[in-house]
Amino acid sequence: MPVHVRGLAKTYGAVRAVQGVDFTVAPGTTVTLLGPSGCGKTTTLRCIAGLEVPTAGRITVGDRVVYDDAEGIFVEPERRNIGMVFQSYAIWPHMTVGGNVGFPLKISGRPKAEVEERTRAILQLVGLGDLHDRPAAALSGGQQQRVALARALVHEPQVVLFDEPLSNLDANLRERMRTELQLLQARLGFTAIFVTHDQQEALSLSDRIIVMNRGRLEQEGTPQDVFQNPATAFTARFLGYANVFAGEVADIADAGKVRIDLGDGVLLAARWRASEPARKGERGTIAFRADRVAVEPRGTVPPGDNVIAGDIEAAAFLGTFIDYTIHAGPLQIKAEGPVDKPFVRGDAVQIRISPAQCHAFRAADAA
Amino acid sequence: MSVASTASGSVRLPLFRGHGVIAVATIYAGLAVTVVLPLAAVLFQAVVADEGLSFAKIREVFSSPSIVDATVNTVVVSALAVVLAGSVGVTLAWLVARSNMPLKRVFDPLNMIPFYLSSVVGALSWQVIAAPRTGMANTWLEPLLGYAPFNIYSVWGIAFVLGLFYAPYVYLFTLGSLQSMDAALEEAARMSGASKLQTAVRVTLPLSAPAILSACILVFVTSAGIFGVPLVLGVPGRVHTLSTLIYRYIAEYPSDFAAAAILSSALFLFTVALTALQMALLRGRRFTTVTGKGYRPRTVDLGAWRWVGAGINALYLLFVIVPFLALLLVSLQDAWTGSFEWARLTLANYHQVLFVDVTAKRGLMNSLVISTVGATLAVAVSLLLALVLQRTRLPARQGIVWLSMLPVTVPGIVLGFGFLVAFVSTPLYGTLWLIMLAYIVHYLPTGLRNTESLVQAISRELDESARMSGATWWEAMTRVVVPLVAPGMVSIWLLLFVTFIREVSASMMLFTYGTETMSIALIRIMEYEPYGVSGAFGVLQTLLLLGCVALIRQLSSARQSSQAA
Ligand SMILES: Nc1ncnc2c1ncn2[C@@H]1O[C@H](COP(=O)(O)OP(=O)(O)OP(=O)(O)O)[C@@H](O)[C@H]1O
Ligand SMILES: [Mg+2]
Repeated sequence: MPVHVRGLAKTYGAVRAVQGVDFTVAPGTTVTLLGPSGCGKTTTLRCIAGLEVPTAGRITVGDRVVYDDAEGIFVEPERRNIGMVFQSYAIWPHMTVGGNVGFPLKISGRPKAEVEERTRAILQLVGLGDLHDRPAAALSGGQQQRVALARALVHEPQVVLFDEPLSNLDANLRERMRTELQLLQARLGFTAIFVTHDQQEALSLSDRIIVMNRGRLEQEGTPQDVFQNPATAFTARFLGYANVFAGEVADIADAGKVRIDLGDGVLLAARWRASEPARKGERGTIAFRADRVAVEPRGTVPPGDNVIAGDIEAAAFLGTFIDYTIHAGPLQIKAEGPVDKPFVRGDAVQIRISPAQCHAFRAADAA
Repeated sequence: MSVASTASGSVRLPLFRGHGVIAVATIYAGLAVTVVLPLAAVLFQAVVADEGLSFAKIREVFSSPSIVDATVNTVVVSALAVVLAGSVGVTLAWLVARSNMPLKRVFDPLNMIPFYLSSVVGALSWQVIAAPRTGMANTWLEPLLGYAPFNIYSVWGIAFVLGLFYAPYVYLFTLGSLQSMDAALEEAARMSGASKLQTAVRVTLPLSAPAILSACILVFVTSAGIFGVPLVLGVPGRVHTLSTLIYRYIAEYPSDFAAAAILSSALFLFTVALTALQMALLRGRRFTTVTGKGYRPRTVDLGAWRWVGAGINALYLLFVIVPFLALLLVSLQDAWTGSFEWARLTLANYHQVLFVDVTAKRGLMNSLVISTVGATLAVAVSLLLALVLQRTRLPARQGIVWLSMLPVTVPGIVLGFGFLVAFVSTPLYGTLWLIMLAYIVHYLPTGLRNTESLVQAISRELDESARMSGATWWEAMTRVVVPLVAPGMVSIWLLLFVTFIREVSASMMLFTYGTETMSIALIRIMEYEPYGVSGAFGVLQTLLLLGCVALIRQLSSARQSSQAA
């Protein structure tokens, strides 16, 4: 079932938690709302759930309007037929596991035998087949997570909302649950809207990612697209682009290529990512990832485009790579290098970044 | 389908859908009749005489010398009670929270006991000890000193009993504040060279000052409005306070409702003002400061002085317990001769109050009925209000809070008088139900505040996930929230039951022949039965209350251990 969100806004007193968000989730796909703490992800999700009354906008689930401020429509959460997994799992401690999971069926008045049968079936599916009669108060974090999942899925909602469901699990369990979730979705075919501030989770789980910033939609696209082509400096920074520097547009080549002057004669060629063309002399921001920086001994490559001389300021061994901090003119550049030919502090190096990996944004975009 | 629309197309539409509006309107109507009407009736009666608006009566009332005396007495009694309760409460709280006093774990629950007992029975038992001439302490000391040193029928006597009974308020507030205080603040003072005592006086106590001050104001307000103790201890010595004077205006022939209303209004405005001050002091602090941090403040090693500390605490408990034991002895004698005699041992007094004296029997039955039904209703109303306040987005909720909290500022005698004025010409007057209604209203703040903190402690996501599972608001409340707060609600029920069993003030204004409550019956039979009989009745009430206290403690420790598991 598709979900459409149009012009969604929610204010709490003076706090504008969400301000005019539009997106569409195609049936059977997963969309992730990604963004830093306080950007309005949970609020958006709760508005879709019906747990918050938006201030403005329109939300449809399938072909049913569940909220529309102009028409004065608000459908209570229990009538939206949406499943939800809460960050705290919200397992009812006074019931058994079966009682928790069977609740949605019981409340809708299904016959006892059916409740029992479907509850056992879904518990089997999430791998808790033998816990049906266990008191829910005595479960591990991972088990609680599965119970919450089973409860959200048992009445076969067409849309399921997840508010950071994996954030309370340890790293190993998180990865396993991620895979299991994808398998479950493939099997049951629900539409999922996922909230997280973990970019790895977003990238691995989603068909599409929506990056949010201060209650607004910053960028939307496939994980590859968003990761490789951040549209704003904010997205770049949030997706782990370790090198973000402010400068000035020095010259403009064709096809959206610019050179950004970062001061002290350091110029970097980059792709211009803003929708309107760059103007010479305007302020700009450049961003590139640490793993896209090649570090070489000084003098091995002839000076050229995007080659800068620098000194190793710090080197940290991180297992699969070495994390360098390089002092290069006015910049402090983060780079990742292979472990087999390490540099040490004080080494004279030069770095090279392919212009295709450098993204330049208009300065006003930098949040 | 819950779709609504209005011409304006307001986005707040869902808030105003039918049943929500009806619920809020019903709550306001209920509070208007039970809270606003009685208080408005008092204020109205105070300024409107037969001839219309008139201030002549007010001037007349306030120029009468007995009023001046009563006002002075009220202020002096309250101030002395604050001094006693404050010094005892703070000292004991510090000893329990911050010193290495021995037997702390035993003292801590015992120090709270007076909180649950009846101060009227306390007053009754102090008569055994310190009535002029006949009190035990006087009969022992008179031969030595040549005169009887104690007179409980005085401003001092009233203040003394009140101070003893209200010390637990100060104790509780101070203890809470000391236990939630970061030990680093005190350690910093020690590191800067302050001694243990200096640290306690210069750092610890000032940090607790808002809590202590606020508890002291509470004691002052409660003492200024209290009725039972001044009635038992003041009236025999012709010492009147404002509350006993209000009662006299109504009980004596010809009764003067206007004068009673004027005094009630004055007392009410005074307690409102002080309560507002207290709330301002506590603003921003939550009563329930349950931080997960669980500071374990370092305790101060008192050396040999720790035995002195234990002695001080034991002394307080003796002052509480000994009079009750004296009362017990009196109640077991067929006639009281000033000391216990085995030959006079009898259970006749108990037989008298349980099986013979109709007033006593009726009072016991009435109180059990009112308290059982009343506590149940009060708990139900508190729970409903707490759910509406905490778990809905209905409009005008803040007004509900204000109205339901208003009775906390009203002395029982004033509220009772308000109910009398408002309902005297309705069929409710003269029934137990009116008395019960007055109790429920008077202790609605207690019930609501406690219930709200229980509901707040339940994570919202628990009922929200029920909504997402297809439950309506009502189903989410009854299936998830109510079962989770139920164990705590039992304790609130018991607390209200205890409070209702010993209530005096509102009952005194509202009882008629046949609807005497236990405390009223006690005060009545003190007038015509021998001392041992009222003693027996007081002992019975105390045992009933102590039983409830034991149950409350049992339940709360069971809850804590089940939470810990
Ligand atoms: N009930 C509320 N009352 C007032 N402000 C609120 C309320 N709920 C959220 N906010 C504010 O709205 C903004 C967005 O909150 P939201 O919970 O949607 O953020 P989030 O993106 O989910 O953040 P996080 O990653 O920390 O969960 C924040 O500034 C928050 O303080
Ligand atoms: Mg959130």
